[in-house]
Amino acid sequence: MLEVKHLTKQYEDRNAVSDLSFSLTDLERVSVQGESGCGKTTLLKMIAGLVMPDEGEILMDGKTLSEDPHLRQVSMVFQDSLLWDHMTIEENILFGSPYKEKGKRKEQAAFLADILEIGELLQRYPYQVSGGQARRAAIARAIACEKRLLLLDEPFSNLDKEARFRILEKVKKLCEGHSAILFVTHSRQEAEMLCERHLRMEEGKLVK
Amino acid sequence: MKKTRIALYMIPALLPPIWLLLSGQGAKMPVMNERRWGLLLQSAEIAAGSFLLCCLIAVFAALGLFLHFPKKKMLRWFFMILAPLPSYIYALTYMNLIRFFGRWIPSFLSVPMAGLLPCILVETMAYLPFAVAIALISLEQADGREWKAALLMKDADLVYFQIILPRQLPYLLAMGAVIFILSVTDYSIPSLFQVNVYAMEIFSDYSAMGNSACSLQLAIPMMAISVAVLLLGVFPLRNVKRPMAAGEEVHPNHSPLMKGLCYLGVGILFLQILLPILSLLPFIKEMAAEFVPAWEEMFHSMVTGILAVILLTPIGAGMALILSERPEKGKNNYAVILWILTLLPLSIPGVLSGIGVLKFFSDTPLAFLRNHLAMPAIGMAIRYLPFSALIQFGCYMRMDRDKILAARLLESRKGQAFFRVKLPMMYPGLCISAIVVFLLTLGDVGCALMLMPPGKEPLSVKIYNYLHYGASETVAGFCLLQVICCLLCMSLLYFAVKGHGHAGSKASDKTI
Repeated sequence: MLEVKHLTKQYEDRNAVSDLSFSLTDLERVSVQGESGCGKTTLLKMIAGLVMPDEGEILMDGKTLSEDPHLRQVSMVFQDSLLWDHMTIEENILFGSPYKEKGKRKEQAAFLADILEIGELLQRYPYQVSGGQARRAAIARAIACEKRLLLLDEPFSNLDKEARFRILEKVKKLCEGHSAILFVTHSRQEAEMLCERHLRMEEGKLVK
Repeated sequence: MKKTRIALYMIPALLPPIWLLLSGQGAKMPVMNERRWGLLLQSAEIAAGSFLLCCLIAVFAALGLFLHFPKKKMLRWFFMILAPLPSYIYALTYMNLIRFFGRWIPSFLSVPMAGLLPCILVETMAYLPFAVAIALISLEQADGREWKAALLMKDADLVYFQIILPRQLPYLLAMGAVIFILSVTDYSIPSLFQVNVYAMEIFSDYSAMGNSACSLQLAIPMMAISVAVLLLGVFPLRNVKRPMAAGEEVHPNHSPLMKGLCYLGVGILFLQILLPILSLLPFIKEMAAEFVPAWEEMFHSMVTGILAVILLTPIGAGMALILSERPEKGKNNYAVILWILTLLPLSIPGVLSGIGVLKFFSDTPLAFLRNHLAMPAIGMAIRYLPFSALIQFGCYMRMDRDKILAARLLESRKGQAFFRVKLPMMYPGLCISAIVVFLLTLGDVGCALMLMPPGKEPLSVKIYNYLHYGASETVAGFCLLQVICCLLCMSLLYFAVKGHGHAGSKASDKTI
């Protein structure tokens, strides 16, 4: 489904990502692990279309991805929650929802919020919830887009250990049969729980 | 798209000098005699004096506000309430106060009512709120952790002067450059204190000769000084890290002297608000009588201001958004050039803007607008476009770009990210720019004097004329009207912006 070919991105005087290639099949769940600053987030942002690569290309189903991020069939949970503070949690979750009918949209928000244990917070604003709750809302928002590829950039970092594994399991179930996952994490345990294939990055390159 | 936005800004902003240049080929070069060089020097002295005094007060006042006023309350920004008040009201305040105290303490009457000193004092009071605002914003960008770490090693005063002030310096210099330019291009205050300045010379020359190309050439030495100051002042901003809301509380224990200076600075800010109001209150009885004949002028001012705001706010927004974006790789020099070009129109004196627009309207099929209020509105939109862009730039710098990127990725329809995320984030900036520029147009004299259609005098010009020739009660009545208008608009702004502080600023990432 996704092919990344010879991707390179340079910031100032260092290579964030250097000649990186890999592929992802439909509904596959792959983790990317590595030290801080090894280029994991840059890689995800390039796939999402938020950062333009200096060299290389990203293909989906053999076609070059659109320059417009929202046409890429990709959604993402960012390192910071990046919720929009002037919208309620519910409005945040439904922002990218493909459904037009109001009832269906409400149902989707309630369903995701309940599963991710933020059901009672739907009418609150992001600044009225805790960091962990905001993180769950950000996960719900990305899943609600129902895109073919879900990029997760250390999405469980604000959660305590117990909640982390619980939510991780739920994300796995929610995406099963719907989306492929590219999961950036520091935690080997999390990676093994969620993903079936593991990649490791060092200084912008994939290593075995 | 980006190029269109830049063109939409640059063409009107640089229209007056370009049109004068194009239409004046072959015009005789005005003579720069000793008197004119003297006037130029005098203008520079007033501008430098206002700039230095503003910076000095702003540094201590901002520190006082930063450390002793509640951080999350808009109360901290109380000093902005009369910021857009026309500077001639401060001139009237100065004169009224001397007269008032002179009644009780005769020695007060020996305080100069004319000359450079009152001119510098009045301009300082007029520009002080903007200076303090920039100084305060620069303090808010300081990294609280860095500040705290330094406090462990040295005393609070030294830490401020050695660590924090150097970080504020690029902002202070940029703000100082803008104050210098505003002051050097203004003639309304100096003329009230019987000081002849170079901007007045341009106006007088145009009034006497009617040769617009000659006015442009005459303005070149002043614009050259302005551009030099602008470059020197704005260039250090290049090396400033992208501002982030520091968000950390710092409690340095300053020496009594430093604390005293901070309190003095804050005290001056209070006076800057209270004195104009108090000095006009004794005339309140006459106000009702004088208010009636000013209705028409007030209407002209309002229509002009509203039209100007409608014209310039979207164009200013487009440019401000471009300026607030991180420059693309290898395009740092391009970003600096863009900055300079954006600020360049600030160096064009209001009177020259007016002459340029007048000439443009006379030479083109747009001449039919000359008897309409659209003419001063377009002139003011051109004059205040850089102000609008700068104000909005200041607001947009605090926007969290990642939230906009997230919206662009997650939107289900094209345009959703703009209308539902970016526009609400821009809303406070749009409001602040619209209201501040509206108030600036309300107080404008330089441009209005050149462009007002016959029989459609705005209130600012009426006040300016009365300040020269009219009874002080009448002037006070009009000025009070301006103060009330300013207070109303700023209150409106408070309610418009209140509650939107969360819309996408970096600081709002913090959840409970």
